[in-house]
Amino acid sequence: MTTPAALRPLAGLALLCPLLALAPARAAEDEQELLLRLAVPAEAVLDGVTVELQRSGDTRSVSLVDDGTVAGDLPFDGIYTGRDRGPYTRLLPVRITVAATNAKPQLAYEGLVQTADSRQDAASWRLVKEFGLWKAMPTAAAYPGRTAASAGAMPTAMALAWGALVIGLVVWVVRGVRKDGDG
Amino acid sequence: MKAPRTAIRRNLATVALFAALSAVWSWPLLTSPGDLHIYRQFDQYCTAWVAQVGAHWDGGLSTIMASWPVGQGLQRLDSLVLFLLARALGWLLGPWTLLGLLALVGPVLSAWAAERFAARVLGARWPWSLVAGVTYGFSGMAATSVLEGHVYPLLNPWLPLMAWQWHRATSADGRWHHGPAAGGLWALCLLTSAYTGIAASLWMVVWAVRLRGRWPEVKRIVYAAAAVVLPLGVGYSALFFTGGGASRAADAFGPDTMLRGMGAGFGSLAALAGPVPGLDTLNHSISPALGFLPLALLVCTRWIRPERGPWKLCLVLGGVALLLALGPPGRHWFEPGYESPLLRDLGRWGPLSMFRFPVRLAWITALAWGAVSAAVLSQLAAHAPRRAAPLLVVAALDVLMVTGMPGRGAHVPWEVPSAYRSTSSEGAILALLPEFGGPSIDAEQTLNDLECAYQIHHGRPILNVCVETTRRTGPRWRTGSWLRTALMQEESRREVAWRLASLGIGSVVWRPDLFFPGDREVLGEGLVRTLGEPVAASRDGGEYIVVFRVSDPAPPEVAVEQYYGW
Repeated sequence: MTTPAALRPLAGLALLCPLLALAPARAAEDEQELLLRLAVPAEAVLDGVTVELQRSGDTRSVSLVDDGTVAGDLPFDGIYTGRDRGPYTRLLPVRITVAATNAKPQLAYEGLVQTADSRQDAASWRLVKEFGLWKAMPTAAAYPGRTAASAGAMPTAMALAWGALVIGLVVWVVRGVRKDGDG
Repeated sequence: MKAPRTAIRRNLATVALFAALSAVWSWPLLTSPGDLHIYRQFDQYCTAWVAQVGAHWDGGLSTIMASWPVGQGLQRLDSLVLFLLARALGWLLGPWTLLGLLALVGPVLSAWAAERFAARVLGARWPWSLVAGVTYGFSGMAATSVLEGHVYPLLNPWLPLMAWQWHRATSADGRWHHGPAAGGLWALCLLTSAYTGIAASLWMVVWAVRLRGRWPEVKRIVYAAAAVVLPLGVGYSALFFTGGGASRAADAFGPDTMLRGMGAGFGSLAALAGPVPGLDTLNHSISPALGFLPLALLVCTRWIRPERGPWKLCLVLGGVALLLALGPPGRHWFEPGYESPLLRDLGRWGPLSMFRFPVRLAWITALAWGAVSAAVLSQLAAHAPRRAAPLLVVAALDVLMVTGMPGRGAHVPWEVPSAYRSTSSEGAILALLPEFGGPSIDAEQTLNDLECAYQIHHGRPILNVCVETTRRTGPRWRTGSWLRTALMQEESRREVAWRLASLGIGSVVWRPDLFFPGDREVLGEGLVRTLGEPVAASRDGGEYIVVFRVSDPAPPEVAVEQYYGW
């Protein structure tokens, strides 16, 4: 009669799943928050980064900073961060202007940001210098230019830690079986 | 009568457990399957359009509702199963609700079929056989389907059932009817999507090694299978190739080699481990992740073997499929001008240029390796049930961890911009879009497909191509490019208005935000000068939309003549 014992954890999960499913859905928020991040290399000395975006007919300007004053920003890690809240917009035309010290502000990017979520989304770029001009390249996630820490790699790190746990658990089960066999 | 009652109970418990996992995995889709979108990429829009056309299908091979005025061919629909389901259920379910239900119910049925495959073919015992279902129904490929919005492969119990019947057909105790049953299920795989059909074909071919040395015994069964497979396969191919060219249409931004064309369609080794950064960017959400538990259990076959069945063949089949899904290792293969000699030669065969997502062969891996891991776990549990029990919970958590579901799902309440309510009740709708380039090139595809989905609500014909992924082609592209140029060059107001009307266009939908500020001003003035003041503007549904009306649009028969004569 091995089945009842084996099923106990599964029964717990079975109870948990409907509870989760019946729990109220996260309330849809009226506004969409867009996290904007620009990874800046160590050699760049910037006075400011500005993102101009069109949100449902409105032109907005967001200053990106790297001093920790914006939620989620690590100060001086080389990632300039800004947030914009407004009505949900599927496609936002954006223009990124960077102002290097002792230089005129320069347009580094002009293009579209597509959002997939009506509540929150993120867009990231990496600043590179080409032919003496700064250019912002769209990237999947903004990795810090100056430190090794990265929030963007967190899901991968968690998945790998989980993998180690699962493999450990399987090894524990196999060892148990082999021990029984030896005994 | 005890045994059947137990079997029924076990099956009910299996379905209940998979349903609970499906609810969590796709959360919060269950709360509003018809109005809330968890899909991230643009395939969702044309999938919904196909369901809409299917619901109102009159038996023809084209519809005038898209690609106006020439009409949209229906021969190359991604999924005929979806189309026919929509035809059958269209009176009851709207297109978005049908998609939502497919995403919720599809994995449950697929997982159940995989669980049965593991139990019947490899001797996995319940509840350990559930691991096979979880791996097949809820792993990376399922997440890819739901996040990319092509939800029809989620309803694919046909592949495990085909594998089961084909196994029976090729076994010593095979009966003649197992052949046609496997053939019929293979056809359902093909009708679900061409990729699942290719996966099913690969499975059948590799599994046929079991026929070696036993041909005289089984040839009758194989002939019976071929009697189903050949006519249906030929019929499907004939239908497909009457719908367009025999090779993928190249566009200005198309890849210069076949392998580079497939570049975006390979899985990555990193994505096997979990949701790596950037997985959902560039209009794709490709992840062949299987979970760590099946992989760890596969390693255990070194010491603990499944009780019975061709588990080694399953291991090889899953491995071959995974290697094909991951593609050539090393980025140097993708350098401009480089192509492997084999693929270069194969690439000369036009139809192969349409095979762009090898990662979808990983469905085979999910089924084959999931089944073997369930059989291994059964053996482990036979010796140490208490120790093995937590692994069932681990299996469920595993697919949530490695796929990143439900966290990776989007959250978009479906709302059509209200300005569409003011479009003309006569003629077609032309979407005036900018010419996208550079990193924003795929925005054209997104907007094109979004317009297809809006048709579900406004019901007017559109100029957009809604079948196949095409950029810079079709009536919308041609007419829109002409209109943009005409307005920018301030061509005769009367001539532009006449041309639009002669093409049967009743409304022009403009998105001012998407144009450069200077162009926006000129185009806005040009549209007002040509068509008069806009009849509506809206800022809801995630877009800023301005609608203009065109007077006296031509009827379809005149419009098509004008279009071809233009």
